[in-house]
Amino acid sequence: MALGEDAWQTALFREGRALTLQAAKRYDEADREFSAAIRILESSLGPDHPRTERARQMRASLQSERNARF
Amino acid sequence: MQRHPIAVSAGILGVLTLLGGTAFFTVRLQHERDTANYQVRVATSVLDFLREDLLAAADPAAAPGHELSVREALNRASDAADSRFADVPVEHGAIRTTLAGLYDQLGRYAEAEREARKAVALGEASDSRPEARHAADVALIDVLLARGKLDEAELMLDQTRQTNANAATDRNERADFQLLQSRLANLRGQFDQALALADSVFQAERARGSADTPLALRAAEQSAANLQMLGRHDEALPLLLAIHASRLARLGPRHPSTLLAAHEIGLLKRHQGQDEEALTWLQGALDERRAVLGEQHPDTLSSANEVATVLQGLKRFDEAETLFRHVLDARLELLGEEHQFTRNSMSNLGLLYSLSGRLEKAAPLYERALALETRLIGESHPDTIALMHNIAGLYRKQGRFDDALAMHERVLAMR
Repeated sequence: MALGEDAWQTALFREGRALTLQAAKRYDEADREFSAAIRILESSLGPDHPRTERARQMRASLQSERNARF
Repeated sequence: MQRHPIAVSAGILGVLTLLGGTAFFTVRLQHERDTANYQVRVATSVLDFLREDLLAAADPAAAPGHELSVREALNRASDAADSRFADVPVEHGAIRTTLAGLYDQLGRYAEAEREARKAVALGEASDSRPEARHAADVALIDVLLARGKLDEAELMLDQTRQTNANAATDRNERADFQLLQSRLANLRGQFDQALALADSVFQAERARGSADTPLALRAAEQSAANLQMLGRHDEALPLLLAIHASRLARLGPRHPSTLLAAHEIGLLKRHQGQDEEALTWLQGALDERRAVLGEQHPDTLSSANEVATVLQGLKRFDEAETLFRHVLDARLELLGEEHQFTRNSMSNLGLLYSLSGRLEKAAPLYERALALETRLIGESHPDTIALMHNIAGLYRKQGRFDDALAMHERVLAMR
């Protein structure tokens, strides 16, 4: 294992899993993954980094999609 | 006359010290004289060889109507060296090391490896000087790393480390090997270890007040590359800007080392998400490398690859595809499909197809790259993990959610 739990690359992997869970309409699990990814990105790259901002936008998009279902 | 015991002892000590000092300086003088003689001998041989063999071939009278390329000249020199230096293995070894370095700079790694192996063999067979053997070892390990032959490079580095532990090695020689170890660790995805090795060389140079030497700048450059991989971009940027400024002032804007620094700054800007600024640096480096090094040089291909990655991020897919395709074709020809850069190119082109919705074109590239990476570097290497992450994205787009989630699990188990 070369990267570790807190590496920014790990955040991107979790973001990828969140997108798949979202596509499979498993919204709660997807939200947990986005949240974990954002937390790692904020601490590794910083809260203002474009990757962090993009992850926040993805999570917001998930929430819009979930709300639109109901 | 009564002899004072303390004075006698002091006198004897003084004489012994003088004799010891004289012997030390005589030996040292002899060593320095040997070194100087050796350097003159080798320099003279290299210059004669350059003038009489290498450059004579470029004489228009020798080949009317034909402009000799550097590669052709090197090939001729390589062919001529065996017969010309048959009786002088020390000079022959130095020439082979020089040729290895020149081929390496041209990106002709197969030829560089051939020359470096000859240099190492000559050093082992003859009564070669330690500095000549060191130069040959460094040349061979360097090209083994460039060709992705990591196991053999590691074996040589281990052997050298054991040899060095038993011998008084030069500070610069130790630093050379540390930087090679750092490169090996980087290529194996061990970025923390790679950073520690490169940074120790840089800090040692800085402590000696020489943070601006080529050695210090190389160490700083390797540190910056590993800092980037660890997400420590803010620490990498000042290092890279300082390296670029130093090389710009000393070497000029078109020197390959200056262009490497510009390329690295562009890469950092891309990692920071500053795509437009990244594109300016990377496109500038690409244009200059094309002009200085040629279209097919590995450094030019690296710049083209990074420009394509930024263009892809900007959704300029057609321009990115042209570049990725060109880089992959050139690397397949130059390095073969098993080389790390070629595998990365397959993965990059696969990602472009996946992102632009051409899923049927992405799958075969990903599958081939994954088969190679699993066999050559294993599932736990960061390159393989990144590739599996991208493949999971492809499965998601194909609606294969279970396959995608299984791949995500593999990725997260390996990270």
